[in-house]
Amino acid sequence: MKIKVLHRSLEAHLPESSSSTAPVSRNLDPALHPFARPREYTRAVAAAKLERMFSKPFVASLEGHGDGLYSMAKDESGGLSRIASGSGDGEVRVWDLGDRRSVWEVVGAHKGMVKGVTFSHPVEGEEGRVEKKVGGGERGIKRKRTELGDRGKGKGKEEPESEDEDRLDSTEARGSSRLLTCGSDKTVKMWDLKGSKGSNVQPLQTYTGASGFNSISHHRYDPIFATASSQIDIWDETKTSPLSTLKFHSTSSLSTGEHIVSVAFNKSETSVLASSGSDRTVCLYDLRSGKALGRVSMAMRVNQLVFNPLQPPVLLCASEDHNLYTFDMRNLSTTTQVYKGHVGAVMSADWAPTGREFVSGSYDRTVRLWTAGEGKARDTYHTKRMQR
Amino acid sequence: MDGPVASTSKSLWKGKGKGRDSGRDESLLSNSNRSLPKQDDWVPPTQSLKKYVYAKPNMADKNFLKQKAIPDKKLAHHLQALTSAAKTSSLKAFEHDDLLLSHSNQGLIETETDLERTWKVGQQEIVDGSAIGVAGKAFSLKLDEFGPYALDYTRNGRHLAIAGRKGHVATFDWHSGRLHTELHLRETVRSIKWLHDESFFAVAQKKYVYIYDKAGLEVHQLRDHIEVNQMEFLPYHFLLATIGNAGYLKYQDTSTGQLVAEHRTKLGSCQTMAQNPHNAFIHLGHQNGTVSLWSPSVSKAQVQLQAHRGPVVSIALDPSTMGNRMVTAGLDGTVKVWDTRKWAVLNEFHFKKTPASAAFSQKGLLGLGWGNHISVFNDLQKPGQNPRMSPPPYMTHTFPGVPVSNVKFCPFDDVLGVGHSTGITSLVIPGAGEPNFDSLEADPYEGKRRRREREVNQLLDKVPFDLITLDTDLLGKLDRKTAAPSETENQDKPGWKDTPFSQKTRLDRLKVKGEAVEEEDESSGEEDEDEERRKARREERVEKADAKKRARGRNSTLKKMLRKRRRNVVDPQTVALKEKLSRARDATKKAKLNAMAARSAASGTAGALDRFTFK
Repeated sequence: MKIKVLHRSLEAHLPESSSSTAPVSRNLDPALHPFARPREYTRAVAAAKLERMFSKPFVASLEGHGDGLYSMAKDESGGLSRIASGSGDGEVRVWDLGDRRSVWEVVGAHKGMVKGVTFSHPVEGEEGRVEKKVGGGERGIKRKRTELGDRGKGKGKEEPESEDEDRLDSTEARGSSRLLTCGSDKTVKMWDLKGSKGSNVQPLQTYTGASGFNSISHHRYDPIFATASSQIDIWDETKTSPLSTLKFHSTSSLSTGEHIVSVAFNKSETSVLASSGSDRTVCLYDLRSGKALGRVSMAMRVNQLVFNPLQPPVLLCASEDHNLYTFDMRNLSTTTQVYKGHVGAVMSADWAPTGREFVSGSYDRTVRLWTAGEGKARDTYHTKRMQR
Repeated sequence: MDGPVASTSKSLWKGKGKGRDSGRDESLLSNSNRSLPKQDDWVPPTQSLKKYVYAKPNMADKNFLKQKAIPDKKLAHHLQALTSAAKTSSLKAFEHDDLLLSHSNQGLIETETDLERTWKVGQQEIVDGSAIGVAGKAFSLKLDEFGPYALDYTRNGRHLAIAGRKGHVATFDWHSGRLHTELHLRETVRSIKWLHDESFFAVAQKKYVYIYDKAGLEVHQLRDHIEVNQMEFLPYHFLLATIGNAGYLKYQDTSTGQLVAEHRTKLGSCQTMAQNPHNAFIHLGHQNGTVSLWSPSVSKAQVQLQAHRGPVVSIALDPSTMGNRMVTAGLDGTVKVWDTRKWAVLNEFHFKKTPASAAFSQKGLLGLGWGNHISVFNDLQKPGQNPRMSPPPYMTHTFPGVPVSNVKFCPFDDVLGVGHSTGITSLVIPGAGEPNFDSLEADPYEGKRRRREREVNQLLDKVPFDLITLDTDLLGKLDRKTAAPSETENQDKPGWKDTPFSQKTRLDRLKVKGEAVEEEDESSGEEDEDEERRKARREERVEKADAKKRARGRNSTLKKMLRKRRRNVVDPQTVALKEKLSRARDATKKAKLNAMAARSAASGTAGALDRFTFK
């Protein structure tokens, strides 16, 4: 008889020394691992719940405005920390997100609402701008405007700035030094962010238009910006009257006021811009030809247009019909993706700097995060403090 | 292969010592001429790989995808990826087990000659022929005064709890012999069960169930569980299931303390309970010979079998066959082996005596306890065995004059624990236990830190009780009922809701719109006369059954009134009612006769035979 009885030696199963860990023996036979699927399911559910529990998305609130905020812009050349905001009482502020404080403000920038803000980009060695070297070897050449042509008020500002050159605040070392704001009082004003702040501040330049402006967008490199009112005006920063006017959106007899709601420059294909109007259309233009490239008629008005910063043909439209649409600007006949999730009109949207995700805010008081390509929102944020 | 190997080895020898000529180098580096041994290209057969496919087992089948060409390319590509992933993982698992598991010191007793029989091997012979450590496995505790003993091993097979009927409870670590606690409860104790590990055990006492901790302190009194006979603990769901004399199956969650479910079995007192370790179903054996299967989320038995002609004495489930084998033993001495998927009897054996208790080992050995002996069976599945002749046991052991009450195999060890009237005995049964345990599931050698971590991980992984289903693969399967609702739904049933238009199938949608083109069917044109008559009769029957119509024409209010008045009282009102009722009856009778007569006159048949015609 061959008799073999199972017995185990303790050495193989106890830890080698008092400080080492106990040995682990594995047997992958499924008979020893029952309930594989329910256990895996339970772990997945628990992991999702814990992830939700530990995620605390609300970071901070920046307080300072006295009225509701109606426009916001981020500084593309200011690292990732500078944003500007304009409120309903005409106040404009520039914030530093790292310090979570306001670095510049002006009260009464416009009479009435500030409808749009955008940063004017400092240009790196491009022609068309007169440069004036003012100190600062390592930090690079600071660009300055010499001729602003605004009744000489701008000139007075230059000298104190040259004195302050060496004592630049570290927070203001990078970033655009000028801000453009537009309001319903038919003016666009350019502000100097290195200059004085508070009340009774004079803008560097004022541009007057025929009607109140709804939206403003700056060219990525050139000193050109576009405004939307009852037509699209392309302005040069140095001139007080627009370079050209584009009137491709149709006006109906019923429409009153400025019917072009939003305008946006393409930050990667830099001479293309898009606009949307109350006639429910989205128009695409090229500055080089000065003609419209295409036009799409939507079901409802598009409240904001944003181009993808890293993918030139992708245009995101935040529409009144609770959806967001992405278009390929080369083929406006179909949308490439519909994003459904909001339950109220989508008022604004913006792409992440990676170009792979975007965020949208809507009239239903929520902010939703989306991944490009997935039609359902990744996340929804809402607080009681965020109201209509 | 030779080139690069040679160059590197030459560079190794470059600076080492003088006078080493290249000829010597060549011979010393003779392994450079030998190529590396070829990689073992042997692939294990599909059958052994199938065991390791944790996903659907048919994924390991090489013809799985070739059966039907899937027109959807994305889906086909996805299925291809899934099958190849399943195959690689099963191959890896097989290799791991093949190479790393030790198969050396385990196995059944092997006979060397034809004349030897394994059941003649006694415990002394086994202990003498094995290593020294084996002697500690065969022991016996003589506890005369406290009645027949029930026993339970923890999941890792390290700790043993024993309970005598007269109230003696003891828990100890039987490897080292260290006693944890000993209690004299002085009331009837019917059953004992370890909870998730050696920290807690539950005792079914005379009226209630009590939970004690490792030191013997009573920590809970479960007043919902009354007169419990048997208990089972579901380790992955942390549920304690109890059944008692009242016939209520109650599930208690021992991690939250909530009574999760109580089900009325309606089959009386129940003494037999077993747990299917692979789908967590509770098998109950009843006094009328039925075996019923229960889960906490459904209040009726999910399966009911008529297993025996008398009461079911014992049920055992085989952990080695993924919950597919069940053995039931009846009071009439029959022992049946069932397949739990087909619910068919695979084998049936008749014994002269009633088995008292049955238990399966991890390797599939069945232990049966009889009046004064136990027998362990090795291979009960052999088809074609004569049911009249009981199969030869693998091993037996006799307890002279002592009735056996309870048998349990120890997990991960070749030990069978027997509880009888005078204590407990531990027997060595070679080949019973699984030699390689998995530390992440149950580890007999876990230390304090690992025990604590395992307890927390087990609690985090606790499966909710409503995932207990008869089909273990149900989670993740396509729900075909909602994918394609059945067409044979009864529209007249109350509460029937039509599927919304957008979810209807295309044909149904066209039908609703009225645009469905009906296929011309020739047979539908002609209708049989019999068919017509049968249809008319059916409609009549339905009408008759209709309650409203039944009330019309038959004055049942009269009868009701008469019934309400006392029958033995005669007063003028009752007399008047009775007269009215008889008049109404006569009237209906007359009307019937007249109708029959009219019909017979119309049809022309003989009047006397009218009563035999259909109405």
